[in-house]
Amino acid sequence: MPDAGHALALAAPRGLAVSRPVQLHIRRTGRWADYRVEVREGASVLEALEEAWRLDHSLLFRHSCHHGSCGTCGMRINGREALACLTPVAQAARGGRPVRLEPLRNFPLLGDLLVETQQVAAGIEAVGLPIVRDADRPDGHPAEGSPPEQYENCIECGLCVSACPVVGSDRQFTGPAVLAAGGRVAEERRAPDGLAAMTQVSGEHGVWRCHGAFECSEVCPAEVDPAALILGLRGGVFRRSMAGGRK
Amino acid sequence: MGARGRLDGMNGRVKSAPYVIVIGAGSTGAAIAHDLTQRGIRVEVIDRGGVASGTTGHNQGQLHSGARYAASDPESARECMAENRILRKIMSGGLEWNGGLFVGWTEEHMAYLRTFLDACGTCGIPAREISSTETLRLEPRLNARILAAVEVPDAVFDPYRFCLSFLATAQQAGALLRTFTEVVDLDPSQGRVTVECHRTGKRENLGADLVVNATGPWTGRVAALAGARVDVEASAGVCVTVGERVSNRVLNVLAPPADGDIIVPLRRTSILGTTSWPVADPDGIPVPDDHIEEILDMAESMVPGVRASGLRGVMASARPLLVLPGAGGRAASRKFSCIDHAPEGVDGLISIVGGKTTTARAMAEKAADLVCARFGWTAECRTQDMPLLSPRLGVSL
Amino acid sequence: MWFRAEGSVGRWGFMLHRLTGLALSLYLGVHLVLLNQLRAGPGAWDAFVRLMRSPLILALDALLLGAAAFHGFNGLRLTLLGLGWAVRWQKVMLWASVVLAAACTVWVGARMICG
Repeated sequence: MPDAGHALALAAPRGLAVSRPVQLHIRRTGRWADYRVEVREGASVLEALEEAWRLDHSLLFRHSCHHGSCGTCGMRINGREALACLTPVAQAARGGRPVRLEPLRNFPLLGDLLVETQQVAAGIEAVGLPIVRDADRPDGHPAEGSPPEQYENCIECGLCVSACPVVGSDRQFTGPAVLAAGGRVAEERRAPDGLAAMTQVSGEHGVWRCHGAFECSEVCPAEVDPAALILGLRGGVFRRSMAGGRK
Repeated sequence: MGARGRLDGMNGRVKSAPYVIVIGAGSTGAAIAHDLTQRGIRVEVIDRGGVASGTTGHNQGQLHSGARYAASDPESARECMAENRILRKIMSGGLEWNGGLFVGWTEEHMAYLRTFLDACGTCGIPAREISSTETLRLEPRLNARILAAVEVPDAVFDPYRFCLSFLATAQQAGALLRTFTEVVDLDPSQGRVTVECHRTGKRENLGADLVVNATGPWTGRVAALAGARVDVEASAGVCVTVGERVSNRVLNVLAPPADGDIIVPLRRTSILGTTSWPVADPDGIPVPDDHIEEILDMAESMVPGVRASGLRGVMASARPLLVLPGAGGRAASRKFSCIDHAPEGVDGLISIVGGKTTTARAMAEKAADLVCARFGWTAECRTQDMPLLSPRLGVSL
Repeated sequence: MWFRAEGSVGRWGFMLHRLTGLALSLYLGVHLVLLNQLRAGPGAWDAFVRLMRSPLILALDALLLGAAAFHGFNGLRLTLLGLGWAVRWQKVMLWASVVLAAACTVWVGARMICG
């Protein structure tokens, strides 16, 4: 391996060495539309979608970071919730089949692949989850002696809400994203009021409505494991109420 | 239709505040929307896509202390440090604030150490030299051959949420946001912005007293719709994200700025980057495999084993660089410019070119000063002290 | 709508639990109605019991047992999970419920048909 200590100046890239064709079968408002595009080897479904957008600016979808940190490109790819930027075309179009794209379920549809997910962010804010938490790798931090910090894992993408079978059948269910945030508030050092959060999420349409399908944790792209948080929260609420009952 | 303000020429007797349309919902547009709204101006932000769907979204996320530019561009460095302090105040609780390290493991790096420390000192950037032992204690994944490191107050921001914070604050104060609304024609001197609203499929004419063009590498194209000219070079760059948080601090190579010399932690990932090469079209930038390999190699020399963390994503986008005579690529200034197009015959249009997200608020301040001067509107900038709202409070994005 | 032919094993487990719950509830109703046959006297009752011992009905009985077994084992799993215990083993427990229920079905079914 060359010693990369010298200043590295890279030449302009040689261009697309290998490209592959892919067909996108997209659920647009009230109809299906097909696009054939060319993408580089190793491209994500989002890159293919952007190629389609270059042909048709009216195609509605969100994207921002392209590496699974903004949470905006959530959709159903071949029937399964995923972030388009983290799904390789090679996997989604296996065997040359067209890639089927549909908007997330359980959210108001704004058009094509665009849904309104604001209530997830608003709900997480209302339950009091701080934006930044203690980092999960507590190495030494000399200056103030306080542990290093990182953004909350949850990127508010809404995949969990779309995948949850209970959200599908109970409109009032708080939903896995907000309940998981409640679980985090209950355990997070930096969160102001764990008890208030627990009270908020333990109502009839809160933690008790979870049926343990675990789809939320299956689809979560950000290592939140909402199911574990929700069931942990439930255990905590249960133990609290048992203790309270004894008084 | 249209929302034209009517001015009596003097502030205080204004019948209604000026109406400004900001094109671009990236970091520049979001910061400008916030500043103008704080000064009492009515703002509508429009973007052809969603929030931060252009260059800002692909930002590597390093909130500069300015140390990187201390030796090569002291003016930029000072500006970064000033904004670093301000953002720490106004965006507190919304950044990963763990500092940064400039690490050296070769003779060349060690030779640069003195220059680097002196330059940071001159620019007023707190820089502390630490031993290799302590460095490895702080960041155990670093190359064991590290000889020395310098600690600086770098931080990490989530670029999408950076924009959302500014926009949420502006929205709460009355600014409007219309995403998926693409400008197809501009006649600023008549106060007309013609858009194609992709959500409804309809064309509309929006009225404005002034248009602010904050579209990054697309600035030239948008200005051209109005018959105005802006020379902006689209300088593309690639970043590679791996699926593991290998450090808590931003890791930089102790050397003059070069390709692939930064590792930025973000949540449970690490973003490696970046490169630069000129492109003609900021849409559809080819992602070069050779750049990906070189970035991974460089990162591997800083943090052995980072390759094995697994590729999570690759992002390529174009920075907007001001074209200065003679310079290009990395040498082109990362400063910004606010251009009033009135002198060239296009009245009612201001373009903002260049800069970096770290200094978005400062850019917005200068731009808002220019907008206010244009209207004879006396209002002080308040954004340096005003805490921003949580990014989760944005509406109808 | 909770019933969709998609998703991973967790979703199928959820749907199966609901379906078996529905099936068992319906069966309970049917069972109580059929027990009314007792009022028809010993002769009619014996005829009814002979019908209930036909291979088809016995096979259905075995299936019903399987449904009850799954619902019972999975119910235990859900009780544990609902209190926040053994969450790490949730998938293992789900597959165990399926396997145990299948084993019950086969074992009891074989005994009923052969014995």
